[in-house]
Amino acid sequence: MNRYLYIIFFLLASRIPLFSQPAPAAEENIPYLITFGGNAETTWGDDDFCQIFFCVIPSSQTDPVYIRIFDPDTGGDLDELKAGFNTVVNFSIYTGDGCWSDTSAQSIYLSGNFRSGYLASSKSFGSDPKYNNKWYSFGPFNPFEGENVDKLGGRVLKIIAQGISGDDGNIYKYFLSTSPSENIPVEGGNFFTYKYHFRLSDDQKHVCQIYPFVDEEAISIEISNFDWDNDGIIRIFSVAKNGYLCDVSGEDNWVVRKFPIVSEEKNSTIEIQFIKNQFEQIRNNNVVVAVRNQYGIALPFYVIPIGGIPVYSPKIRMR
Amino acid sequence: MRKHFYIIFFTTLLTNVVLQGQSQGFIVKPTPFSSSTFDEFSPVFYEGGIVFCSNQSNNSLVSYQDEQSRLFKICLVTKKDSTEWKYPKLFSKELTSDFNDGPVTFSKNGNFIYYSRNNSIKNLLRNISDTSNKLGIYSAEFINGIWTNIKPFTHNNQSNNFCTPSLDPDGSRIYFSSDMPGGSGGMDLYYCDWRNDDWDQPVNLGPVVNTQKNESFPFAGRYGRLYFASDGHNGLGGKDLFYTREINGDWIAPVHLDSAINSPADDFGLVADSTFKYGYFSTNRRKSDDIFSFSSPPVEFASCDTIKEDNYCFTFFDELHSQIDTIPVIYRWDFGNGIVRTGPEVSHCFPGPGEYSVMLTIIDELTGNVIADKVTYKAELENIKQPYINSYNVSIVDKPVFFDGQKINLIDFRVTDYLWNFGDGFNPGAPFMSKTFKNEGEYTVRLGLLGEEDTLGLIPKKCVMKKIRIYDNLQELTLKGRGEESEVLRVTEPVGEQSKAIPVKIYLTDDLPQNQNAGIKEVLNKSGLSTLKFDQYGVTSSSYQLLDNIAGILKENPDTRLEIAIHATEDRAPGDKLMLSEKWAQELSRYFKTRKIGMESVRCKGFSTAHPVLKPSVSDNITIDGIIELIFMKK
Repeated sequence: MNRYLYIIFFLLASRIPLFSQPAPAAEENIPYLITFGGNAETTWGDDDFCQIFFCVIPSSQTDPVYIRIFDPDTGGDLDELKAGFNTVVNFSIYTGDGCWSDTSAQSIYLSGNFRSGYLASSKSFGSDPKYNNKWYSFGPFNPFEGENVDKLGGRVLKIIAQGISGDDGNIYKYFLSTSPSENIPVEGGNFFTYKYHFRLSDDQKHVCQIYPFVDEEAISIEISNFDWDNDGIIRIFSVAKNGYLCDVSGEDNWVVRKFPIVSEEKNSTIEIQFIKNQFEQIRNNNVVVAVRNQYGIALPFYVIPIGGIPVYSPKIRMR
Repeated sequence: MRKHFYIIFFTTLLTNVVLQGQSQGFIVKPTPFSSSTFDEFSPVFYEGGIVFCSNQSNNSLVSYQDEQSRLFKICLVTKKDSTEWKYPKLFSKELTSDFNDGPVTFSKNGNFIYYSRNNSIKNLLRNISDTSNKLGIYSAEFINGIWTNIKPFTHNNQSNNFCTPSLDPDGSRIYFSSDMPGGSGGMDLYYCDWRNDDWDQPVNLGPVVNTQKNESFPFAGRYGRLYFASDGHNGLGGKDLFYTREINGDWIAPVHLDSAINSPADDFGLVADSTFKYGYFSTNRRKSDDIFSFSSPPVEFASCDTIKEDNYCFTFFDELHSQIDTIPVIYRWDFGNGIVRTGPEVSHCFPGPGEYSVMLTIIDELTGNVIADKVTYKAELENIKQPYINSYNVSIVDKPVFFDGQKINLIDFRVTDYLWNFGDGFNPGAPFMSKTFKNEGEYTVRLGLLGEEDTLGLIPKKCVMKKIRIYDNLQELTLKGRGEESEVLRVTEPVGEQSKAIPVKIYLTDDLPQNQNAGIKEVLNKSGLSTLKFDQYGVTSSSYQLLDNIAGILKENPDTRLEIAIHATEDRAPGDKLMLSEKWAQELSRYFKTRKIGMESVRCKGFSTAHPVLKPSVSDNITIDGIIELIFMKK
């Protein structure tokens, strides 16, 4: 069975009320997304200065929707300053056929036509107090403008945040709303990305987690993390994994660790957990994470985990 | 009384249900002291000869006669030599009445006789057609060469017949037949137990044995077999011989004896040796009642399987958990009854077969979160389907070794016979046997079981075997140092759990080389402990030192084997004692397993009471309570 049917099934069967959440979602315990300016150094935690998110609008949603961005500007006390704010970041919304289905759009590399689809709206933000700590709404978008993907149970829009210039870090988050002025969730909506760029909490007690969905073809996965800065440990939970440790990256480098996938984990969500260094406080740590299967195909991170948060099911045996 | 009185009660024409019995090849032939013109029946063994009933005309006191004017008297026949018999004679004048006498049964020492006869033996009351003179059971004592002190059986009455008595081998129970009210019809089998210097109330053997027709002529053989004659059970015709056995208070369905013994005529009044290898029975297949002898071929079992030990100790683990120490999780296993063990892999011994629930909770050591909460695993433990011989594996010459064959686990197999083979072929025996070996060496003991005949007339068989090592002597090692407890102690462990300290006796067999012998002594003395302690979790930490020393010995001496026999304490219900002993045996097995000592090097067995310790100076009559015997021996 195709993995997407499983996704639809889980979307329908999940007991968790599926409302469009902020991206990052509350369950992830991730404070913000981050995209650095195009002239930034990768040592600051962004390998390509571009973040691509998709939002799924369920077929049942026929009223217009808005993609809202919190703190889209690059300035103020939330963003990461590097010797004076000089950064411009562009947010673009893509709709229509190919915005998701083009393989370039699902790649973790910015190659080919990753801006596939129709550009529906675009705006660049510099340092502008007007948008500092405030929500900016793209839209309205007729849900039917999105690429119809039956496999995902609705229509898909793509949001690309790309650093144009400057070297500061733009910190922000998204919300899929039915209102341009407030965050009213779209029931059944969800965000997902294939390469997650995010800012960790500075609180050592906070544990962040993200939720890639493992397809049925996977027999192994490679978890890559970039610029973890040795900020504690990264580990995996799933129905069949009870905290396997990942290798962690240091400053400005990628680390890849391969894990076998057992049958129970196919078509299910796994949890990648980030536990901060308990001995030394590391602030403003930004990290990039991607997961690919044995074919190199990137697996999506859903902000609302498909099928719910995975619960480890030990396989008790006696001998 | 006429012979036909017996015929009325003991001989009934059966319906024409012909059951083609499966012949085991018994050799059956008439005895030379049986005549073709007279009747002889109901033989019993007596001092090398045979006592039986006969109407042979060997006296002139004929009065209360049968149709051929013959009375039934108690006769004795003895052997002239190994093959020839003397001429029968009257057994006892004192026991001879003017009426019919017999059949009889004797106590084990031959000094008491129980026999049936008419209640009224006054000549004046004699009337050939009088059936009101019922049969009763009488006893007599052999004092100074004569039978005297003749007494009626407590339960005799004038309205009903009480006859064909048979004492069981130890004289504590008497079987007989009676037509007293409350039975199944006709003559029924009853027994009375000897209590408070008299015979207790008669107990009917119940509908499995007794039918609407007649069951009579019981013979209580050794090992619990009760032979009897019946015309109410399916047989070959007339009265046939059967046997039954009381198992856990129930009588098994009667087993039809071999087709060579039974016939379409009346077959009854059987006596056999303890092994049922030879005996005598009564039959009218030659028209008159005659006593036939029978001898049986040895019972054979095609194959005997070596006993496999049941194991209730298991290691539990999570198959998905990778055995890498970088996963900081706590595995907490709850085995019920407050027993919780922690670790990704834990060992646990269950008390025995049954269904158990094991609950696993996994806790994230870093966050304290519960990763898996009370995940339940159902463990179903079954004993190996086999007969079983519970016994010591080691003993010494001239010391009885006890063999318990009752712990069997077979489905759809109801045991009718226990046959033991101690090297001299299979012989019928009791579920529980003892055997004294006269020479050192290794013996193979086999237990064969026969089951109830199936619908095809086949008798199922099962057989197991085990090896017993017998030594001339066992050297007892007295441990020096602390803990010289001679009795079971109750101590309180630091954790507050009640534990029991069981004294340990250590023996070394004489086949261990001297230097090995000395080395074992030295190591064991180092621990300075002579007890092992158990609590609800198993063996306690205070015993680890001694056990680790033992494990060390077995590792350093791979040619050495250790047999452990555990006799639990008496302070629980008797039924629990074997279970507790076995549980502790399992716990010790588990402990040695964790120390990488396999079953080829150590075997632990639990026993109930009544086993004497191996120490030769201890009387066999002493029962042992609360002791652990360790026997080091060469593999």
